[in-house]
Amino acid sequence: MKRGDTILVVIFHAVALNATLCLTTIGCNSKTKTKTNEQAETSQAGEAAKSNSQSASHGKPEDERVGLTWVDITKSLDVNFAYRNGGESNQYTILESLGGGIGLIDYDRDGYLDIFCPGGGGFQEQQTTGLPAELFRSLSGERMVKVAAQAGQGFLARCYTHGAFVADYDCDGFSDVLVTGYGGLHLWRNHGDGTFEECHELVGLVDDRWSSAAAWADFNRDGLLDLYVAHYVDWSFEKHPFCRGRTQAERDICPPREFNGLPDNLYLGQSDGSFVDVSKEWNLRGDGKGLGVLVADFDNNGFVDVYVANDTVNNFLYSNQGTAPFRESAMLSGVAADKAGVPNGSMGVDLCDFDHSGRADIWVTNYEREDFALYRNEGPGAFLHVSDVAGLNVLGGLFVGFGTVCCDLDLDGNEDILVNNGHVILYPTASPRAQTPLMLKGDKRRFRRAKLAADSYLMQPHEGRGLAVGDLDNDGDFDAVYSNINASIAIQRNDLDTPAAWLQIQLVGIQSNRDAIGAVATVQLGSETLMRIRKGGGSYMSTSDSRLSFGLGAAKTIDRLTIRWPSGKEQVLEQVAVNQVLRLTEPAR
Amino acid sequence: MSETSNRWWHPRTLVLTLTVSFIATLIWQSWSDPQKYFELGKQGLAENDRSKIERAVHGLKDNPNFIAQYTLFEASLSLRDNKPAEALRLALACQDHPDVAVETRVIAGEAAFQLGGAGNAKLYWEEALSLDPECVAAHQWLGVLYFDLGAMDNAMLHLQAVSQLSPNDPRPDRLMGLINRDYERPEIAISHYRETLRRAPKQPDYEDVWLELAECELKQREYDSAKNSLSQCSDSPRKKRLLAQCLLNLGSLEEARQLAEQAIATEPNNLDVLRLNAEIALVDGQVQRAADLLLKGVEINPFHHGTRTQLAQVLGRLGQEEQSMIHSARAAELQVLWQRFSDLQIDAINQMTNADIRYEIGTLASQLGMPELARTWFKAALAINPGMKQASQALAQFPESQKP
Repeated sequence: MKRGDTILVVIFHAVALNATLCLTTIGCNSKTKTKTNEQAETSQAGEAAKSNSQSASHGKPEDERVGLTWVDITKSLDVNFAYRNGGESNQYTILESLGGGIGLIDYDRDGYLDIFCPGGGGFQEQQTTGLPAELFRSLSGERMVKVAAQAGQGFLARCYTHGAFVADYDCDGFSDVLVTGYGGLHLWRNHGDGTFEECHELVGLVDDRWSSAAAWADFNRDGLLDLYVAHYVDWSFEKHPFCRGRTQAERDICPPREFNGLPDNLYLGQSDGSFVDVSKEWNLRGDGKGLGVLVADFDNNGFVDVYVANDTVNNFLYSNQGTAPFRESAMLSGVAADKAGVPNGSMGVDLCDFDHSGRADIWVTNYEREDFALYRNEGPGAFLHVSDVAGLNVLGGLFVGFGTVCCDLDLDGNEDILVNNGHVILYPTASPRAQTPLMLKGDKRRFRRAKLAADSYLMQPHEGRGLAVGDLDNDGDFDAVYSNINASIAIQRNDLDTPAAWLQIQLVGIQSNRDAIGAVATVQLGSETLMRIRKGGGSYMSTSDSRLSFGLGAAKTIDRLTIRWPSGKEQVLEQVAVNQVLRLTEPAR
Repeated sequence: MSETSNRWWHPRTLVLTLTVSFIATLIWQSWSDPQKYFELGKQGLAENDRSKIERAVHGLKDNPNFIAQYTLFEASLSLRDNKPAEALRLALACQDHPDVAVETRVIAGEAAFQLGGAGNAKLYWEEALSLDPECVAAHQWLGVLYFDLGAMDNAMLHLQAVSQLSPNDPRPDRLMGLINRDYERPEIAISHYRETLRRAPKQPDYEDVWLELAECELKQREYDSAKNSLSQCSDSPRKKRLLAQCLLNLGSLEEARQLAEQAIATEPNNLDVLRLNAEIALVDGQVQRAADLLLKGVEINPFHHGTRTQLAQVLGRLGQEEQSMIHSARAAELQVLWQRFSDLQIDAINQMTNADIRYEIGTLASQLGMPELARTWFKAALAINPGMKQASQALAQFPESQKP
């Protein structure tokens, strides 16, 4: 997230010579009365924002028609919950800009996804406060009820919260929730009886810094989930400078460049359910400003790696050999920055295999006037920034992208992309605060902005942040849940115009971690190969459906399904039926 | 010859003679009217026309009622003769006369500016504006002064005023376009470029304006607009390069490739062209070709960290680990310097009287291979703090030929 801070501004100060040459005449004759300078500047900025708002809100004529409709079912599901950022206190803190995420979790294992929503926080004078989270229990996908009071004794937050990261860390078969935030982590352990208990201290997740994104995964392949926690910046009310808005007198939220980054943490899970901080041994860098974390085996060596999307500083790629230390290689791998080598304001992150190459590509949402980055995986340790040739740069540089997921939404076999957008400062000039979300339709080679109905939620501007996808109604396609700043979450049901074949896979690890994070599923359909990865982390402060989703178009059966489990085992199934949720347990050998 | 025709007092001759005399008298009276000379001189100041100022000086000389006006123009001529101290003395001598109070302050400011007293110059021009808020010259000079000090927001305020007060003059918006382009504010630069072209579509170097506009539109990711702007320009290597970038970003790889190849044929040593061709080579999977192009790019500009980073990545893919690490390490060093350079420019905008920041920017510019820029920033530091020894020493290190 970058505001007024421009990276690598190259000033050709010699323009002063031009200035002098250009303006050497003296004259006080003109008496044309116009607006004051300040008014004019403000007006100009306003015009720019207005014009950009227009371009940022509407699709272009060449945009792609898609065979689906997004139906807003928030009200019909009886859901109304807003993440609050405390902005009404006029403290102008950078804390307010981050927002919160969405955790999709089937906490009661009834087969329907429930929704966990961090509450955010506020300010009492110059103290931060936390607001309770909410858990919406799905009643067969037709209605949702608030169950925080019963399930989590209100899910009270002792600090200002952001992200919800779901995983079964204790391997008891019930998904738990880690909540990140300013000044601490919350770990809500699911008892399996419909209730949760907060246990961060008990398990050793003691962290008093500003945590943002996180990812569960098994880095040392011991079958237990470990945890990577990213931290943002070293802000506090003691380090809270005045940052100007459109004029010297107007205050706005400070950009991240005003603050130092914070080191991230890696915790290794222990067999007793506790965690040990191994950040030093695994050689984590201390200069990140992390907002997104993604875990997958990018170099195909059998061990999951970590990609961290940092705000205004280089992104990290930690290559994992299974033991300490990590080797950070983002710059050499080509995923640290943009094409010009300039670090971007990176927020959201996901992976895909957009070109069906069988390799995991990395997708990153960035700040305005930066391209969203699609890093094509060129083979072990090498990526290429291909946003231009993939048609993504035509989106323009007006969006401030946060939550994002790559997913085959129309089930045609090609992964599409959703992005939730919204500005971070109060008085932006280049693009508006409220921005439209994006749906980008993939065709194996490039992406085009989806043309949607004008009244669609995705065509209306919002101050968007988190985003998660999952099959909320168990109809085979993935639906989407958006979180916003100080406005209700929005649930969008995906209604396909014409049915298409699909397969969802729920993996249960035995030797591998129970959630099978790191597993790779490959579907063979004639000459076409589709790959999906059970990743850790992803999007922005959010957790999507743990089921792997394949769109199969008109296919009748799947020729071959191959699962490469995190343990290294390979499982092959032939002639698999379509249109089913396949629950696969890791084979003994 | 008839009798009538010999008579000098012939009525027709008399009428003609009287008429000529009358007109001559009017002209003489006109030129001898000191107020007219004063107006002529002011016109000369406004138009930067020395001959008019000199005629005004000649016409007002020895006129006891126009001493202040005469002195004003004398000050102006002294300034033009590179005698700023004399100009300042003369301007201050007549500054209290209400007819010339504004103009003398403008000239005093110019003289002080030439003498290195940026602080005093600023005060004179601000005084001029307090007397006449619509004094274009004072706004112009304050714009230049703030620009030189790296206080861009203040510079923009005054240039904006010039633009409004001179609604047909294309130059202020051209300059604001340049400033905002160089300060990475393309969205604002675009509006100024469009305004300057609206005011004077065929202004001198108008093709350059279109090209600058296209560059900003590219940065702003307005690729279709950039294409349209480029269509206003005749064929040139720069146009080809920008158009290739446009097309690449629009996903038209094949067309971009053709233009990039044409561009490298005409500009084989242009870093942007080399990088563009390297990018396309990588998309095509031609890693060795990309390495060759980037290696040449690094030779041309060893301080460009982006090129060096790409080269390190490509060499890594080619298995040249040692070279890759060398370039990577240097790229990392350069990136830190560029980042600091960038951050300080923003600090300079917000802290317009901080000489230390300007000195550090100058030092960084020097380390990043931009001696001209370094010199400008050292001068800015000295303008704020004339006694700043480090800045004087740094400026003195430039060869004599490079000094302004």
